[in-house]
Amino acid sequence: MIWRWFSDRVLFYEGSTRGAAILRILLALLLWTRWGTDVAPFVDASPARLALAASFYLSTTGMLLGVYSRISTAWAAATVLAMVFWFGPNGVEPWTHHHTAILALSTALCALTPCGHSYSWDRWRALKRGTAPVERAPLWGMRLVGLHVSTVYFWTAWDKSFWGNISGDRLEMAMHTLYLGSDASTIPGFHTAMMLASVAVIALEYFFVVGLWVRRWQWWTFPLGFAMHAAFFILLPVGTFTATMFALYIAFVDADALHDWLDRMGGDT
Amino acid sequence: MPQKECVYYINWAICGLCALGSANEGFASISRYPALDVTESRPIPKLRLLTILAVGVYLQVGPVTHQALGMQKMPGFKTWRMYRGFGQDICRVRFYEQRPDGTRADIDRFEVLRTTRTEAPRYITFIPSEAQVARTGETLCRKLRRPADLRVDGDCGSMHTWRSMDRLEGVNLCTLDEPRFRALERR
Repeated sequence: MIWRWFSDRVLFYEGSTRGAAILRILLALLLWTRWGTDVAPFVDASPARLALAASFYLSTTGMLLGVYSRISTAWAAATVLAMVFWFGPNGVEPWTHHHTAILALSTALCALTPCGHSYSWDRWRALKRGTAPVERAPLWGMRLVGLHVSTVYFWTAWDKSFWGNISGDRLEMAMHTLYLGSDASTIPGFHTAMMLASVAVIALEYFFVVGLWVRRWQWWTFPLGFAMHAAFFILLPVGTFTATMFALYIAFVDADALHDWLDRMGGDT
Repeated sequence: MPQKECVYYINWAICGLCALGSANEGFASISRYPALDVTESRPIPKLRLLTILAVGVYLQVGPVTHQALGMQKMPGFKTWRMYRGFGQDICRVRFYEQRPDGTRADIDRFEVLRTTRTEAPRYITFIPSEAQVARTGETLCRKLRRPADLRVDGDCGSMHTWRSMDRLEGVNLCTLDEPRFRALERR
């Protein structure tokens, strides 16, 4: 039974490729946002960093425009994975942070999707030749993107599941570090609010591990997830983490429903 | 520790529920198109299957070995421990003057230092450690320009909970000497 479910829903799962293409474009823009300035020649013009910059800009431009999409995406993934796992531990500490790793790994997983079948130079060229494929292909790579998101939610929730967090103390420390300074808070109910917020975040993260996959729940799980990540973005220094998670949610959207919706938005019937 | 064990078992219970949930309701409800029944008619794409399994395992190895099994972090694997240490370097304090008649008078450190919360150096507004609390106390003593019994109430952040400043409890900050500052800094 498990094998049948796995082969039907993962191994041979097919659908519209527009979601994967949108993910490719969003990730390329996020890569520029996170690393575009860091790798620029004016920051470091050593030969290794110049080679890195060339690789980064060429691959991500190809990825954004969809020029040999999967090759460009795989090349971009190799570049940013090298930044996270090689350059990072060897002197560029901010590149090792988890929000950068999520971005790099998502790019690698995007290369496993048919991300060039839609919204790409590849497709435009094929249309001109009259050989454009149907915008439908195996989407097991999108399942892996979803698994990646669920993994991140589960293990971050697991990591927070200790008394210091549940009691609200750790969030309180974060609020003092960012906003209140060393003055004891005079806000009534502050500690209780911190405790409730901490418990809510842990509960939501555990819930999203499964909740995001269930299509009939998505009308409320998606807004809840967006709201939680928006709060992180506004209140905490999370960098591109929020925008990356927003982009990755597309892996949970029904590919064909998204295709139809985009058609309707474009005026097609 | 019972609390820790409790959280541990709850986590595993949730893990089990997640697995059941995704198997029964998750993927099954995602696509409105009927599932392709191609397993009998099409050969299994071995490379695809291997890639899916390899990526699935890779994503779990880092967190399982480090977070669940307590092993060292492995290079090339992420553990998904995010913002774990963030916010530990902060103390929340209340400086006060202990008067001979036993009463306490709160001291506004910004007022004594003739600055404001926004203009003061970061280490005065966001005091990061017990040692810096003591240093701030010393500065306040100098600025008061009179013999004073300046004390501090408060606690500092840590990985788990607020930790009381036991070394400064009931201590007149105006009498601290250099060796004691150094001892605090070493902590």
